[in-house]
Amino acid sequence: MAPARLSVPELLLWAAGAIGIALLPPILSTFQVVQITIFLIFCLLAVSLDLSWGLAGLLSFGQAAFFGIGGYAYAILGINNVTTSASVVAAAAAGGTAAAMVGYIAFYGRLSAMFLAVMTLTITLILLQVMGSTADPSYRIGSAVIGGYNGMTNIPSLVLDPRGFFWTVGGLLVGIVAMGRLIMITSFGRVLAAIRENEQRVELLGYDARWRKLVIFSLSGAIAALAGALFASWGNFINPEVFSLAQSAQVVIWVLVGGRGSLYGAVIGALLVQAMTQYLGSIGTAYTSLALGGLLVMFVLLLRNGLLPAISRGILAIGMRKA
Amino acid sequence: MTQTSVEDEFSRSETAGAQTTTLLLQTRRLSKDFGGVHAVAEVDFRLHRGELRCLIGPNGAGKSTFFKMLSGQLHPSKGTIFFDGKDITGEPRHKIARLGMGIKNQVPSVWDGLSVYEHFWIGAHRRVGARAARTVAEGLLTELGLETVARREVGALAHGERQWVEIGMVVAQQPKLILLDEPTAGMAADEVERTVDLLRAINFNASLVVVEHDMQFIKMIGGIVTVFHQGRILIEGAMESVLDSRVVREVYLGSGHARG
Amino acid sequence: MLAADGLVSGYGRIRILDGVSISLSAGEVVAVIGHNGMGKTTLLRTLMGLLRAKGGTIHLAGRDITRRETAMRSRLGLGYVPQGRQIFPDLSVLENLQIGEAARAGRSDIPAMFERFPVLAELRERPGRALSGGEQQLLALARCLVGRPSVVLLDEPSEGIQPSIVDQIAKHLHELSVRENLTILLVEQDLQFVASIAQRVHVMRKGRLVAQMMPSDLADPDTVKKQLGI
Repeated sequence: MAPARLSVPELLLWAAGAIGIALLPPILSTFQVVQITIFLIFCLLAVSLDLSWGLAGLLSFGQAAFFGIGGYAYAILGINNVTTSASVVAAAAAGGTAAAMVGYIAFYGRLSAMFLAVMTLTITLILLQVMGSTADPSYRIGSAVIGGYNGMTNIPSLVLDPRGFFWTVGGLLVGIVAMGRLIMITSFGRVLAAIRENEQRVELLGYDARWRKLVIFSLSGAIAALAGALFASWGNFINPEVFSLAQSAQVVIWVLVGGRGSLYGAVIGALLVQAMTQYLGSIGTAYTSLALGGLLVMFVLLLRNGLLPAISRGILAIGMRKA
Repeated sequence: MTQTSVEDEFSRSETAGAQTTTLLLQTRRLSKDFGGVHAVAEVDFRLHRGELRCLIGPNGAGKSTFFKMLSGQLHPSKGTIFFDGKDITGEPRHKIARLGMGIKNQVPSVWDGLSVYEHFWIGAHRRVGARAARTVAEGLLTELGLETVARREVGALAHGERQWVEIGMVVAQQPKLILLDEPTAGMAADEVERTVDLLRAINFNASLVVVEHDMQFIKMIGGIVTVFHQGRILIEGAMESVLDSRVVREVYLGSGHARG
Repeated sequence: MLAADGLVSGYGRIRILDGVSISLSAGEVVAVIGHNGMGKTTLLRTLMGLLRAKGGTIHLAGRDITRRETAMRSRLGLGYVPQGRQIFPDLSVLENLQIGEAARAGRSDIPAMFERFPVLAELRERPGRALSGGEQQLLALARCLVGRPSVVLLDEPSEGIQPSIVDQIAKHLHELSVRENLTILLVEQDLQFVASIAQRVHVMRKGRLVAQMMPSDLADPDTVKKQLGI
């Protein structure tokens, strides 16, 4: 479990992260900067899931849904000449609201965890269908044509300069991870951790678990939507693929591989899997899925809690000692 | 079946809170059915402020089900529950907890991934601020002898230690009424004694109802004992007379335990 | 019948058992008492193979089972009733018992078990999860015994069970040890129960067996306290 207090090493890590983000663009090629930016956007998406799943135990297969909602919201607003920064904020709000609606039904209806997982996946696939069937040009909001499977192009950039965009995305990632960690050490966060372990016990102490879960789930949806908006801005393009089964599963895989509960694990997992996919894709597409599948199987068998816990346990293990 | 005449006095009053202020908990015809099974049937239970009541009875008599209804974990099929003057029948469990009821369940219900300290802190924090919660938590660690495992994840503790953690967490909540379902399960004889002392100390600030099978424990506690049988209150009275009663020996104690 | 020598085991980096040696001959009833967290449950789990022994050996009827997995140990006649019941919640009482004896041939012991413990007979159709805590505990014990193990490891079998049934269990276990030569290793906190069936009592402290007592010693609370190590 992630430590319940902020230590000096962790604060130094944030500083290092911020400095790293600041210093990278000048030393990398433009292509690499653009490439790493998309990695960081997906790291943000992974972090959104970890806040919901790792901290509060709420497994959602719908981060892709909120991601896509954010992306499309940003696209629609941006194409309709709303200021891009306002569009980003609105996109995050849209994701947060959507998550709040789903969460309200699930948590106040006291529906099971399985229900949440299945419902969020279903919503994602429904969105896939719906957005995919908007091919006809009459499907438009203002001057934004939804475009069905062809997607939406000419989405305005939040920041035109790749370096500037990199810094924006990187800064947001570091900032949101820091915020997430701060949330985790407050009493709100600790109670959420307790809810994850045993919700009944928490309520028997007088805490209402429902609104707490709703808050963290909505926040998670807002962050996913933010990532979606950044994604739409990155490629100036979005299509219903963001709502695919593959995308939903990817987010869960990133967090599984990296280790849930620390936020850093989610970042590492997302980076690792994406880098591997990238690398494998570049040497021969036929083996990518196989290799990734094999990687996942290996993780489930050997490193069940993910990479980060295994690393930290390895570092701390100095052999057996008495209880 | 039998009640002392003092109890009869109180059964005449219509509202449990407004007039009879010493009555902390009262149930009226409380029942719970599961399919065709009457787990709890028409129980009229009364508890006064400051009491330390023991609740005993055969397995399957409905004791845990009764507790679960009181704490809001189960909805009664019939009947009402009054706690501290308020009708809490069917209220959500967190509301009942806020009103001042704490419960330690039969199976240790704790947070495996959190430390002992955090259990006490979160238990206390519901009512007091962060710093005060820290004081309460540290005090409990000392009182329960758990200082050495304060930062240990509770999932790594032994069964009996997890009981202690849950008891401590509920005490941290500073409730008016604590329901304890088999608090000494998994404890050695001297640990049971320590628990008795602890409960007596807690009894200064809270009323307690304790379900137990450990006769040594019951004898140490003394006081009034309520016996459940087949979902109803079979008999209720002073410990010695209840434990000596023939029917209690038949359905519950067997032959060996009534002696001191 | 059952012999452990120098057992070392624990969870991850934490060592709980620190060189435990104990042996039981056929038909013996031996109890282990001690405070919480001293390693009693860990001992039973290690003997059963749910925890891997990091050192030492375990022999069952002369056979080295130290590296054997749990299912194999069970087939070789080692039975275990853990703390925490662990009965099958969706199966009825009868089905739970049937699974208990599914692995062996021969006549069913279930009718006899129902006769011995009528409360189980009354509940035969009830699903496991609908039983009270104590009823589940009794079912867990019965399920183990109908499998006719040669050695049983019992982790607080009387926990949560009403006194009259605890007496019946004690009688039943005593009979089994005498008539069927059932070897019993018992972890218990109920000293009266222990005194009524055990022939030897070991005290466990900090992962070691530190003292041995006679059952008759258990009647004196001061002796007990001293041994438990206050």
